[in-house]
Amino acid sequence: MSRAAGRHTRPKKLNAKQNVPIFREDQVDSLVDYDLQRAAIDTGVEKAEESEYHLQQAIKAAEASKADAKIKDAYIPTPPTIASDIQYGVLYPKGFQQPATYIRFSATVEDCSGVAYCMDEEDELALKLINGRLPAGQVPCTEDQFEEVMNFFEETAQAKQPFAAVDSPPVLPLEELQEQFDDDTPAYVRIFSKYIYDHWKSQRTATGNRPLAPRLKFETGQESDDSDPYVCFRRRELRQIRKTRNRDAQSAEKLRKLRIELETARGMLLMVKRREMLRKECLEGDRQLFEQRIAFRDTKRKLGMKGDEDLLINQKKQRLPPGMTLNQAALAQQLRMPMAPGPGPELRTLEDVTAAREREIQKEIQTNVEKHIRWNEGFVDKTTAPLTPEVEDDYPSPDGLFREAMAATEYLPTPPASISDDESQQRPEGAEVAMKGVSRPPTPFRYASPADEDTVAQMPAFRRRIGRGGRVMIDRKLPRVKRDFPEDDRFKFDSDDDDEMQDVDLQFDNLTYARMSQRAYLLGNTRPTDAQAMSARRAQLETGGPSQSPATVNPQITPVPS
Amino acid sequence: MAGGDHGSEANDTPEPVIKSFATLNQLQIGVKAFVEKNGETRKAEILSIKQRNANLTFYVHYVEFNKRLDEWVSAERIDLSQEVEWPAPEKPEKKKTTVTSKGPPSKAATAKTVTTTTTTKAGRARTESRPGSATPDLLTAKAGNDRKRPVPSKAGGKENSDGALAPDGDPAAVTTQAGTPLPTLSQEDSMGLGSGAGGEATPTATATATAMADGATKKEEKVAGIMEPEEEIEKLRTGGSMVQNQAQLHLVRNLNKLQMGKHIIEPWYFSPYPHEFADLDMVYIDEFCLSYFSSKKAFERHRHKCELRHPPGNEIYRDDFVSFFEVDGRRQRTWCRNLCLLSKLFLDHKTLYYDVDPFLFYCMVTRDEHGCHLVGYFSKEKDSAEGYNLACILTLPQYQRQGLGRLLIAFSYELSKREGKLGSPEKPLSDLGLLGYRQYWKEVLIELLSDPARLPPPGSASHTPTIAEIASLTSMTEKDVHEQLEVLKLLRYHKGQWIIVVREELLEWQEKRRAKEKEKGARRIDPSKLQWKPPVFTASSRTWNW
Ligand SMILES: [Zn+2]
Repeated sequence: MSRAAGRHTRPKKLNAKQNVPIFREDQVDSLVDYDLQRAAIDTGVEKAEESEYHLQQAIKAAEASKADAKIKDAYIPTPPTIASDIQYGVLYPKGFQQPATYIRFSATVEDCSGVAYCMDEEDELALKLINGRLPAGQVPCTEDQFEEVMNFFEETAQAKQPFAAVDSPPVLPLEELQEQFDDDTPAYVRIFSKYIYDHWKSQRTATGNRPLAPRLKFETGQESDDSDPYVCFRRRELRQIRKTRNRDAQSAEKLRKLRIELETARGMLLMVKRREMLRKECLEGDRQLFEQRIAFRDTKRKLGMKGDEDLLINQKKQRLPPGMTLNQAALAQQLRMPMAPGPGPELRTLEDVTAAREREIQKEIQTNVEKHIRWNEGFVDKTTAPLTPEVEDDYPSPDGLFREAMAATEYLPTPPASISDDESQQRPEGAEVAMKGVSRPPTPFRYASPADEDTVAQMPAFRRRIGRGGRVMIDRKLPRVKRDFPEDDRFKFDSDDDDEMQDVDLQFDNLTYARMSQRAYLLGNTRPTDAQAMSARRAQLETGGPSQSPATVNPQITPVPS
Repeated sequence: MAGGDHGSEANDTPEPVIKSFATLNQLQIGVKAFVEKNGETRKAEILSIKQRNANLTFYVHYVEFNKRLDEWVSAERIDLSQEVEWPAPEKPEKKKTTVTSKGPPSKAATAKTVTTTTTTKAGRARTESRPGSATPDLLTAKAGNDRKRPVPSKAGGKENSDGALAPDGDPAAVTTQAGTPLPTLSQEDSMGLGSGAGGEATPTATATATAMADGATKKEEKVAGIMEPEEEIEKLRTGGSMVQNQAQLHLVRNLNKLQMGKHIIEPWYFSPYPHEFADLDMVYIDEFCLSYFSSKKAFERHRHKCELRHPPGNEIYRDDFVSFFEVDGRRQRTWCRNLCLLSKLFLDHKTLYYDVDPFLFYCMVTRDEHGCHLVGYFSKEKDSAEGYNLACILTLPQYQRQGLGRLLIAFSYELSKREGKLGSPEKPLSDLGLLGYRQYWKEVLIELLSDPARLPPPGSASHTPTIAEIASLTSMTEKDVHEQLEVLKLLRYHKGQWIIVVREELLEWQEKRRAKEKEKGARRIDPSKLQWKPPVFTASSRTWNW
């Protein structure tokens, strides 16, 4: 190198950040002032192939773009490709239309290929024979149907004998296959299965009871996998182990937690068991005591003895026995209640209290409503969802109008007298509310504004009418629940990452039917009668009430004897 | 083309090659003989022998030719008037290890044998170089403590290489040799290879295997009878043909012809399609879903039902000529596996050892009223630790030599630009890959360096680019830029400074190319038509959980 150009030292290595001026050839000395002994550039081709004749020729050709026209046409020869004489237009029919926007697509090959089984020439022949031997009157089996039957056999066999390829069990008998028919199995599969079975069986037998479609070889976990060039598409585990130590630690932690939780649960169950055993013992003791007392009483009567009556009943203990907890004592107390002596003079019954409370509540509601009406006298509330909505009906409403069954929950005090929690809203029964302690204003008023129309409309309502001959009729008007499906989880299936789904508890509620009806309703709106029936059915389903059509459509008349 | 008598010996062991005349029946796997090819004789290595109706046919690899030209030849094409080269025996010191480790077919033995058998493959340039670079995964996994083995640095770090790229993609091969104990092998030796089922221990293969074993034994006897006793011992000991039998299963093309779309295609290399497909006259591939069928009827039935008309992913690019679809290996496992099986037929270094999950497949299609016809694709790791922007690239053979490979490469760099990253294709490249890339790099670099609009006028003092700047303008890695400047002889050391001299010749070349493009219409990737954001993957979807 040094002898090539004495006046220069060996060039410094070119740094990527170093400026490299660009010149045209005529702008610099044509003389190469430093004959670079260039290091061979790594081609990136496998060493053994780098020297291949055609590649070398082609590389030379690329370099000698001008000088040597002779080797310019050098190329790497490849095996030929020729035009096929298949009927392309038949196999690949026209009809593809490119959408205006870029295609977005997520269906898989399996989604797009219909019945997986594809019959081959042998099947074709067999099908001909099968069709020739069908009993008179039986419509011949089509190729599509044949494939469905074969597919049914194959899938069922795969499900029942997943390791058929390894342990070669006997081919499944027809009866066992037919057991797997379900409601979705088309009739022709049922019919043709018995004619096609023999063919399927012979095919399976011929291949050692393996799946009929040629399959790729996947890893079996055996050492022989490595030496088998046909084994492909292995899972990558090596790297995962190396790369995810952190994740392993997390998993271990999770497992530990799970274990502790399971152990706790187990401990609890053991204790529950012990408790129940004790309870049983206790009951047995009680029973024994009871029997002994009866015997004692009988003996006493027989012998005409008097006194010692207190031995026949449990004595009220004034103090907690040392071993007893408060709860147990309370329980014991409760259990003994019926045995306590008759009601004292000052004791009121539960019914009395409830009734009194209810009256109070009703009174308060009424006062509030009246106050409300007075307050709003001469004013019209024009806001969209007024805090105090226009009172549509007087309260109490005259006969002939529907009266809401649980109106109390929907009337607003003016101004809101108090704020009650959601819980009370959901307990419209006055009695129950009254039970909940007196310190709080017992009226379950709404405080949220606007009152959402759903809730307002949801109240079942009744109206009483007096018909001919004094018949009293009650018309029911049950709410028609408007459903939107905010909890529709379908989008989750479209999630980018399957793993995320593990954390999501998918809830498949019993709305499926309702949802289906809803769709059917939307689709079938050209047939109003059906739609009506459908929505009626839906309403019924959702309210869980007895069969009735919604009053909005047609109030049902229920005669009530008066 | 002066005959392949030389060259490959370069990396052979210095041991003298044993040469002698041979008869047809003496020919065994591993022997190099002269074979008539295109009117001249070339040295070729016998990779497999098949007997059909008392006629022997030989699967040969022509020395210094690419494997895709390997072929079955009849006995007449072998020139036995010239001496043949015998596979070299193992070296003595290796023998020891071999013997000890080859005892029982135990798993423990496997790891050791890997090294021994492979290193003893003297006399075969190809196989010799291969074992050295055999898949790193296996080696690290199975023989990780073996320091003797030269593991190529790059490939060594990389375990996946869907694309290829585990050097020579035949991990299996190496271990096979080792993993298969000699005693069992001797039964079904030399003949098996061609059947594709040779030596497989699968139940279905048994029938054929036994048949072959018979034939094999017969031949074995014949050969043995002719050979000198010590020669015979030597042969048995080294296990030449027997060991290769299985080892080189993958070296022999297993499919004969493909029917795909409007074309009939000859495969180039082995691909692990179901082994029932081996030696069928024709395998049918659905052009859209890439499903494969051994029966024409089944294929027609499938076509009757199949509704796919384009790659099952999102279209991310569309111009007047082509569209690109992005297909996620994890979401479209079947389709991507089908694609890989197909492309393995044309990519020697691709390995299907691992599954398709960690890759995205960018599929280029042309459109007509039948649908979107796949013409080529490249795969790309969702997360490449080495910064590769492309793992595997293929223009289907029926669409080659139309400049489509260039479009694929250009598109891969367009994606890199969108990602704001520099990228380079995963190595090793195939011969065609290398040419394609060099052509692309040449175009891009000359275009850039000669374009006054993109760079300051040549020689202007105001600005001189750095390699790093060129890299960021092209999304090529700095290393690739530097190397290609060298390859194009653009770098000069002038008065103590590095300069780029844009050679006149290259400017002319560019002019010519542009004129041609004008005439034929230029096919380029228009970045404005790329509707794509670099996808983001959670750690779990990038890896290979199921
Ligand atoms: Zn298809």
